[in-house]
Amino acid sequence: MRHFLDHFFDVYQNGVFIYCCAIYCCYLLLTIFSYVSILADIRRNHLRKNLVLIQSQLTPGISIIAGAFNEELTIISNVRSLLTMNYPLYEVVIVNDGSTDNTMNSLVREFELTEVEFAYFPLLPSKPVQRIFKSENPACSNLLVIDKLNGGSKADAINAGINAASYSYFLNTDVDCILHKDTLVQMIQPFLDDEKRVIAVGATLRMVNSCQVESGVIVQMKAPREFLPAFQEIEYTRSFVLGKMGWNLINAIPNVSGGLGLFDKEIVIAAGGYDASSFGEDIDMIMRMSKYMCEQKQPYAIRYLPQTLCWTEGPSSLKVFKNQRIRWGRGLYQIISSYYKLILNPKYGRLGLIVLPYNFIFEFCAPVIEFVGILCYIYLITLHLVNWPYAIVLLLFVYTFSVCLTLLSIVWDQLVTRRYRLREVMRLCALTFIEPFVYHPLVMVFALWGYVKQFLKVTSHWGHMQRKGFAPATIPVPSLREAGPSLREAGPSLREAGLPAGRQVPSPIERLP
Amino acid sequence: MILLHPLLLYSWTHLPLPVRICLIISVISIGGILFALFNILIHRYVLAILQRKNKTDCDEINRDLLAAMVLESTGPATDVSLFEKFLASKRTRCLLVGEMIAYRNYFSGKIATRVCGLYLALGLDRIARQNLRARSWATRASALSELFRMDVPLDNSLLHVFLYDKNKYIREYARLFLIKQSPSDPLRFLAEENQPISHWEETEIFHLFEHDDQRKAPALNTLLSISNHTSLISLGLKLAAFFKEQEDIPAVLALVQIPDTRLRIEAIRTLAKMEAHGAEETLVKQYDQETPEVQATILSTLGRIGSAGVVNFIERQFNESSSFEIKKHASDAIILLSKYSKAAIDRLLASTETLNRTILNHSLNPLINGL
Repeated sequence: MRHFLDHFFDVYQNGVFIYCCAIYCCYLLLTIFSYVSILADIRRNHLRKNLVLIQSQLTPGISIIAGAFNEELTIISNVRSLLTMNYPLYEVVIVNDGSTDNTMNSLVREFELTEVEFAYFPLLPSKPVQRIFKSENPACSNLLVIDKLNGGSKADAINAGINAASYSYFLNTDVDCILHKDTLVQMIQPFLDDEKRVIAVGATLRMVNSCQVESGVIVQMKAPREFLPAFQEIEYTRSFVLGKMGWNLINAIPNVSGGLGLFDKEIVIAAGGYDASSFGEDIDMIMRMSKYMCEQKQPYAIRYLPQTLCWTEGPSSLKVFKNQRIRWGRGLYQIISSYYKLILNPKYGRLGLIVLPYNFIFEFCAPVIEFVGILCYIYLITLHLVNWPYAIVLLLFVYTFSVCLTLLSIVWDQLVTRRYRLREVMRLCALTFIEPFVYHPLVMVFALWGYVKQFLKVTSHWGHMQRKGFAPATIPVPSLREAGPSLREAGPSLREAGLPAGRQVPSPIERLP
Repeated sequence: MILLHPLLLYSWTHLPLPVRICLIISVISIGGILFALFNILIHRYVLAILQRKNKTDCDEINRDLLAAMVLESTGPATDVSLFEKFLASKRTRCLLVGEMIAYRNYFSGKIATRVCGLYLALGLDRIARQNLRARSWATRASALSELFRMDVPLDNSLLHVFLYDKNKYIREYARLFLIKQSPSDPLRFLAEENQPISHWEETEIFHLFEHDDQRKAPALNTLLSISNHTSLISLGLKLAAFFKEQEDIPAVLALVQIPDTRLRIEAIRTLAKMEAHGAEETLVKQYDQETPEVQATILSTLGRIGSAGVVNFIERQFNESSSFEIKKHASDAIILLSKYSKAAIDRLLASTETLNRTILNHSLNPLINGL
């Protein structure tokens, strides 16, 4: 037995070393790819003028779809923020997913909603829609609110929103997310610019936890002060700026975040829409869209933008964080078990040869290998079989390399956005040194927890994150009488420029700092 | 460190290979960590200084431009010497050009002309022209963009060279330039080249026509030919819809038979935008052979261009079709033709079928359709 264990540990150690080197080679490549990708994006942005899109009649319409479940604290300010996007042609579709609090009443009161007889056709499956509302206020004429039975998942709500959406592109977001006013004009560009058919576009998300928010608009951006959101901020930076932008260069993006993604509606519908039973509905959607395009033999692209265009409230309590990560773990398990047949199948191009193998080997297996590694370590320590100098060299290698990559992701991020003060950036840098000891083990344990739950088919719900809410809204929406003529009547230029009625197009003087 | 001490007892060559690899990577990583930290600090420091300087200079440039271009727009020619101080360094020159482009975008007419005149008088175009010969594509594309936005003409032979550049941005700007500089038949070369264009380029070209009141409607026959690349036909259709020239209708009508479904839909939609009343009969005839998607578009188009003669046809489709989308488009078409279809609307509203009634009420609701 002892001989067998010794042999097992030898093989395992060598295997883990090779695995570690392989994963770090991938990360290194992604770091280089992301740098190239970010530079290309900066150059593209320099040459492309948003004004052309904003003024053009050809700019495609976009439906912003946001699901809401018990969001009464933030719903008003966030919907108001969605209604002030800098884009000429869009609608906002809010799906009230059977909220049990005052969400629906608040919306009706604040936006002067009235129930309409809407020809709703359930092209994609969702729980029954009970009522559909439109605003009587001309200032909110592009607002549509769907009141439906609770479907227990975001996917169900988004499917209902897609069924009612008017335009060919839709932006999937959460009602608690705060979007930059140029989100639509930025995110539509890859759809217009790429030689291949772009089916989805994502952009970087950040934590809103410590930002100052007024009427659904961020007035001062601050890096999270609390530890858990700050670690998530670092993780998001690494994941979006280094990971997604790296994959962007070789058109192998595995996932467009559920918090912010612009999709080609036609392909989403053809792929069957969102799967309400999935715990990782966002990655599942991308997998299905990619699979559909490969099966149709149509070249496609999924793109990512390095700019931060969306801020979301990250879990600040361990309990909520745990639930979120367990759900993500279950989602990944579902993906691997649903799409394992595609792995290494050349018919599925990059999806089968890069995206799924990478996700299986380096995303799905990593927590398992890590956990078994820790158990082995403990076992070897108890038997005094650890060669400490070598062990420390190996630990130093893992630690320094991961810290280096995280810091490089912050450097790359600084190339694109410098919204935080230097002190805040340096604090994030400092936290990267303790992240591997404090935050990473939590992520690993919760992911494993998710795998186990999914393996044992333990039933659980999506769960709901209790929001803290932002500062109360101070700027009221003009009432029907106050609003006077609609924006359309007030002149197409104002509407095209996405400005409220009564305000002129900013002159160069206004624009300057 | 004490634990690491025994390592020092070995020579490098005695260490196992994995340990050596780890040590090398650790040292490189520590270097990377230090580089990252210093990079952030230095980058932010330099940037803070630069931003402060830029803010002061930008304010000054903006003040001078405002005075010279806007407040004294009716006065004598601009005093060039006022702006010469900004040419001293590359940084201030770039700021000046950036501001001029912004003014050029935001103003039209006399002010825009004065801004372009000042740009030329300061000799800024010479620097941009020099940059057209740069090795980096980014510099060349940036120079082309600058010259294009400041309405500086370029030699056609040079532009034809750029048309075959490896970089797509340079090719795009070359095409835009050629269109801008050819007032008589600006789109002919596009059809001759028959190269695909992106949607973005389509938007930029459209923008040229959309925002130039002096520009006459171009001849679209060359673009609206079936032999052209689909992206060029699509551009031709959009321009045809914009200019609404009656002589383009036959060319658009010919495209209604094109095998590409997307283009066929676009051609049918264009007929609606061009209010091509003569197309009614062709569309009705073609209806039965079409896919549901195209059928829905035909119904919408009939709603926009149709006469009393098509009301019965649309009503029949509304009643007989089992497709929700077709019913919805037929309903919208009936409402759009309300001048002729009042009786049909009343008849349909009185019908017992709930879905039909809901769809009709949906189309009738001004809150939904913005009628």
